[in-house]
Amino acid sequence: MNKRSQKLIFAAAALLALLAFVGWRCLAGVDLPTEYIATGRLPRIRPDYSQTVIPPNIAPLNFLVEEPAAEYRVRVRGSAGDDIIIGSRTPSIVIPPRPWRELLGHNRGGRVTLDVYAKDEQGRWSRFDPIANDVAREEIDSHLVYRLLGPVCNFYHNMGIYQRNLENYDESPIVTSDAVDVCFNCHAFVKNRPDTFSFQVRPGQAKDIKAGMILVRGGHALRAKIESKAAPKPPAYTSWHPAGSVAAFAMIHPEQCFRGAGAEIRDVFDYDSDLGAINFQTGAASTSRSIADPGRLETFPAWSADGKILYFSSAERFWDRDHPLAMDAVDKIMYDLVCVPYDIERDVWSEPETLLSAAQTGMSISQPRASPDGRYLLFCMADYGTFPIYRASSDLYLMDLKSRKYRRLECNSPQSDSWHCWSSNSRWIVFSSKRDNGWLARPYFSYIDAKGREHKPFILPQKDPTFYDSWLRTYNVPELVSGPVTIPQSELERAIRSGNPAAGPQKSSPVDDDPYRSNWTRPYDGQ
Amino acid sequence: MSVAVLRRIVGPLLPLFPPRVVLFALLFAWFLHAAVDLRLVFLVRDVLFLWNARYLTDLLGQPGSLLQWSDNLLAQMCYLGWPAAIAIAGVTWLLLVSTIGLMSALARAKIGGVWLIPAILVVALFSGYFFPTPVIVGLALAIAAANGWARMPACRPWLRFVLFVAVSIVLYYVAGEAYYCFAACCAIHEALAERRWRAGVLFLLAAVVVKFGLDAVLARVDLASHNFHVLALDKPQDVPTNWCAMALYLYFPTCALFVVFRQKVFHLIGALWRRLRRSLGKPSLPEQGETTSQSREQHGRAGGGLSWTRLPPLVRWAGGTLLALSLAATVGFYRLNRHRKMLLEIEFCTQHGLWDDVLAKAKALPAAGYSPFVNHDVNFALYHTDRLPYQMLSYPQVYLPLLGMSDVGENVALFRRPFDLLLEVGRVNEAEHLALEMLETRPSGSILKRLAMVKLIKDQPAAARVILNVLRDDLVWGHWAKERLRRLAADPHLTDDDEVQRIRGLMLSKDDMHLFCGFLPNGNVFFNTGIWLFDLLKRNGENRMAFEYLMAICLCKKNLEAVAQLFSYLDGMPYSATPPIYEEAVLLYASTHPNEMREVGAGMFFRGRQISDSTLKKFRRLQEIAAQCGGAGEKMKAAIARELGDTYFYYYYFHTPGKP
Repeated sequence: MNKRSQKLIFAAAALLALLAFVGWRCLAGVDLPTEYIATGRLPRIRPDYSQTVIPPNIAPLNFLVEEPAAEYRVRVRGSAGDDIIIGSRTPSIVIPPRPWRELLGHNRGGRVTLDVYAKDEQGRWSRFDPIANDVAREEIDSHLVYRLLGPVCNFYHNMGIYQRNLENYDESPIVTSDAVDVCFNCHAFVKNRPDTFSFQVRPGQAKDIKAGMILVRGGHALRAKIESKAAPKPPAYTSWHPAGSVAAFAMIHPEQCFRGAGAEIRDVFDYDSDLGAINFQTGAASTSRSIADPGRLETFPAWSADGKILYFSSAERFWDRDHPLAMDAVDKIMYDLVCVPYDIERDVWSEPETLLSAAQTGMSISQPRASPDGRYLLFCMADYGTFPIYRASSDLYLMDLKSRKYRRLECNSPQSDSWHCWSSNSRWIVFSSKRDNGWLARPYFSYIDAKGREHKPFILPQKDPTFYDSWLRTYNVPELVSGPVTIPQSELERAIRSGNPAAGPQKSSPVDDDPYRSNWTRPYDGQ
Repeated sequence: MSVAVLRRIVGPLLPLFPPRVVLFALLFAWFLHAAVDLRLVFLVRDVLFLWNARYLTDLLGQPGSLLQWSDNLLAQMCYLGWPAAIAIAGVTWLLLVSTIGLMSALARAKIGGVWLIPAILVVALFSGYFFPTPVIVGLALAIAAANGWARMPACRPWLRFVLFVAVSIVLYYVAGEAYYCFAACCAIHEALAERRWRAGVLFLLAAVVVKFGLDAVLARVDLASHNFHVLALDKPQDVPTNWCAMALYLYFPTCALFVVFRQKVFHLIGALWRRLRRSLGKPSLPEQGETTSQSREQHGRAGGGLSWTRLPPLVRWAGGTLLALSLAATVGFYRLNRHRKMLLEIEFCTQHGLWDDVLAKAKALPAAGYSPFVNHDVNFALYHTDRLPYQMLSYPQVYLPLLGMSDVGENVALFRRPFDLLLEVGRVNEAEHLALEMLETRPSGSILKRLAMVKLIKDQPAAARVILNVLRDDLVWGHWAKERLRRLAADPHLTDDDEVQRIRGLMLSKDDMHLFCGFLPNGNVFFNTGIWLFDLLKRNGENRMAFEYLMAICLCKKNLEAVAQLFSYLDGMPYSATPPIYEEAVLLYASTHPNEMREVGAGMFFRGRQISDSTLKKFRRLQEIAAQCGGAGEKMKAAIARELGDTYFYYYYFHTPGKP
C-alpha cells in the first residue's frame, strides 16, 4: 500500500467517524432536565396554543417560547403514546410531525400537555406550569381553501385561491393571478366536497377576461352563462344547495370608498343587490320577488342543511336613481336576517320571513351559514353594512335554529371576525380574524362541542412559528373541504379564458354546448 | 520570494487581467458612478429585495430567476452608487476576459481585439436608466462557461455530451436566455473548431431539449406559485428589447463563427480587394505567402511613410487603447439621456430633502420639459424652504400642485410623490391608500417604509410591526426598521417621536368621506380631492402646508373666490406680512367685488387685512396698462410681462392651464 492510498483510507475513516458522531448526536435525542425551579406560572408562547381544543388530525402546533433563555426543552405528552421531547437553543419549538400525529391519535378525546423548560445564562433550568390542550374526538376536514391577497384597494395583481393541507403544512395554488391576471373571489363548495365548487372572476389587468362564474364539477371547469338583460350583473356570493343541483347567488353592484379617518381606510357598500338561483340540471336560472325585491338589497345566500330554506341578508334600499344614496347615509344601511322556503322540485319560492331584524339587534346582520347538521346558523353582526371584514365591530353570532335564540360567541375579538365556515361534521368552524394586528386577516379555528359551546380559537399552524410576524397577506373566505382540490390550474385557466369575448366564436367549445346556459327570467320584469 | 517564483504564481493569472480590459473596466466603473450616477438608477429600479431565504426561494421557479435575484440585489446596491458601479464593472470585466479567452480558444491563437465590440455595447446599454443587469450577468456566466468548455481537455464523446447536458441544465436555469450563447458557442466549437460535426449537431439538439424540458419541469414544479414569498413580487423586469441587448446576444455566436473561419474570410476579402484594384488598374497587392518586407520592397515603400506595425509596441498599445476607449466614451456620451438624468436628479434631491438643489436644477430645466412630477417637486421644495407663497410663480406652474390620478396614470410607482405630500399635510388615510396601491403594484423597501410610517402615525403598532419585520431584511431600510422596532418595543405609541406626534396633530379625527365623495345616480362614486386640504385646515387653522397648498391650487385654478375665502385663515399663519401673490389675487377678486375692500385711513383692507402699498402700486400700474392698451391684446400682454411678469396679475390673465 503506497502512501497515497494510506492517506485516502485515513481521510475516509475520519469522515466516517465524523458522520457517525453527527448521526449519534442526532439520534440520541435530548433529555429533560432533572433539576429545575418551578416558576408557578404558564409560559408565554406565540401563537397562543394553550387551553384550547384541537383536532386529532391537525399539523404540529409549532410555537415560540417568549421567555428569555439560553436553551429550551419542551415535552409534549399525553395519557397514552410516547412523549415527544424537543430541545432548542432558540425560542422556536418545531414539533416532529410523525410522533405528533401518533400522539394525537393515541389521545383522541383526551388531552396533550406541553411542559416547557428554560435554561438561563447561568445554566439553571426553570419549569413552567404545563400547557394543556384537549384533543377532540372529531376530526377537522383535511383541507382549507382560501383566497390570499394583499391589503388591496383598487389595483390587484397578486392574488389567488390556495389550498392548505391541515394535516401538514403543504400549501398549493388552485388558481392564481400568475396564470390569469384577474380577481378571483367567492369560492363556494357543495357540502365541503372538493370536487364540486364554483368561484367568480372579475377583470383585473387582464381586461379582456369577462366577469363570471366558473363551475368545477367532475374534473372539468366551465364558465357558467347566466347573465342576461334581466340579470346584468355577474353572480358573486354563491351558496350551493346540498343536492348539488342548484346554486343561489347574489348579483351585486358593490362600490368601494375610502374613509378620511379611522383605522380601516376602505369601505364597501352594495348600491344594489338581488338574489337568483340556477338549476344546473335544467340550465334554467330563476328569481322571485321574494329574493329580488327592487326595494330591498338581498345578499349572502346560504342554504339550510336540508336545502328547503334559503337564508340571506336583506336591507331596505332607501335610494333610487332620482335620489342617490348620500355618502353620510351608508352607515344607515342595516341588514336583517331573512329566510325563505324553497321547493326545489317546483322551483317555487315562498314568502320571506325575517328571522332576526337589525332593528332588534341594533346591528347589521350578514354572512349566514347553516351548520351541516341543521342545528345552528352562524352569522356576523357589525355596526352597519354588509362588508364585515372591514368593520372592526364585526363579530360572530350563533343561532339555535330550533329555539331561534342567538348569542355572541366567546371566541370573538375586538377586531373584525367574519368569513366563517363549518366543517362537514359541524364540530369545527374556521373564520377570518384580524385580531392579531387589526389589519390583515388570519384563519382561526374553534371547536363547537355537542352542546353548541365554542372553545378558544387557535390560528392556522405554520411550520415556521414566526410565519405570521412578517406575512403581509390576508386570508379571505377560508372554506373547509374534505380533501384536496385536484383540478389542474390549466383547466381553470382555460375555463376563465373561455368566456373571453375577444377570443371570438367558440362554437365547438364545451362552454357553448354546456347545459349550464340559462334562460334567465325575472317574473316581475316590466311590472 | 524570488522573481521567478513570483512569476510562476502571477504568470498564469496575467491573461485574466489584460491591461486594456482592466483599464476599460475601471473607467467604466467611473463612468457609471460619475456620469450615469447609479443613485438615480435606484429611483427607477427600486424594487423589493429582502436578504433572506424566503425571498430567494420565491425566485427559484423559472429559468433566469437567479439573475432576477441578482438584478434586484444590484438595484439595491445602486442606493449608494459606487458598490453597484464596481459590481457591474466587475461583471463586465468577466464578460470581456471570457470573450477573449473563448475566441482565442476557438481560433487556437491569441486574439485580443474581440472585447471591444461587447465593451461598447455594454456602455451603450448602461448609459440609459433601465439598468439591464440580467443581460450582462447572464452573458458573463454563459461566456465564462463556454470559455471553460472550449479549454476542457479531450475526453470520451459520451462523457463530453453528458457534461454538456449537465452544464446546460444548470446554466439555463441560472442564466436564462443568455444560455443560448453558451450552447451556440459550444456547438460551433465542436462542429467547426474541433471538426466534430455530429457532436455539434447533437449539442444543438440537446440545447433545444434542455430548454423545453426544463421549462416543462419548472412549469409543473413552479415554486414561485407555491406562495413562499413574503410579498407578492414584482413581475420580472422585462429588459427592453433594444438593439444593444440584441446585438450583444448575437455578437458571441457571430464572432465565434468569424474567428473559426477567419482565414477563409480574410482570404475572401483579400481576393475581392485585389480584384477590385485590378479592375481599377492599380498594382496588385501581395499574394498570400509573400512576406511583408518583400511586399514593401516590391512596392517601393521600404523606409518611407508611417507604418503602424513599425511603431514601438508601447506607442501602438497606447494608441490602440486610446482609440478603443475613445470609441466607448463617444458611445457613452451620445447614449446618455441627459434630460432623464436631470429629471431623476430633481427627484433624487426631493427624496433626500436637498431643497435648494431641487430649485436650482428646476431653474435649469426648460419649462417645456416640466412634468407633473417636476412641478410637484418644485412646489414641495418651495414649501419646505418657506417660499411657496412667494415664489411659486417664479417656476412654471404647468400642473396643479396636488397630483391627481390622471397625472400619475398607469405608473403607480409614482404615487410616492402625492403620498409624501398627503402624509406630511395630515391626510394619513389617503396616503395609506396610495401606499397600498404601490405595495400591490410594485412593492419596494421605500414603500414598506412609507406604509410602516402610516401605521405608526395611526397608532397601529401591531400592523406596523408586521411591516417592519419584513423591512428589517431590506438592505437599504433594514436599519431604519430595526430602530423603529426597538422604539416600538420601548413605547408602542411612540409618544416621544416628534414627527409622529406632529402628523398626529394634523390628521383628521373624524371621517369626512361624505364631504369629498358621493354617489352619482348610476351608483358610481365621484371624488372631490380639493376638500381634503380644506377639511384639514378647518380642523387645524395652523396647518401651514394645507393652507399654502390649498391657496396654490386655488391660484392655479384662478378661483379667486376661494382665495378670498381662505384669506381669513392667514391669521393662523406665521407670515410677518401677507404674501404678495395672495394680495394680488384678492385685489383681482375685489375688482369685481368692490364692497369687500375697506379704506381705513391711508390703508386699504381686505377682510380685515391691510394690503401692502407695493401691491396696491402694482395693481394701479396694471389698471393703467390696461387702460392704455384698451384692455386686451398682445401689446398689453407684452407690457404686463415686462413690468409685472412675476405677479399673479400676469399669471391670471395670460397663463393657460397645462402650458408652461
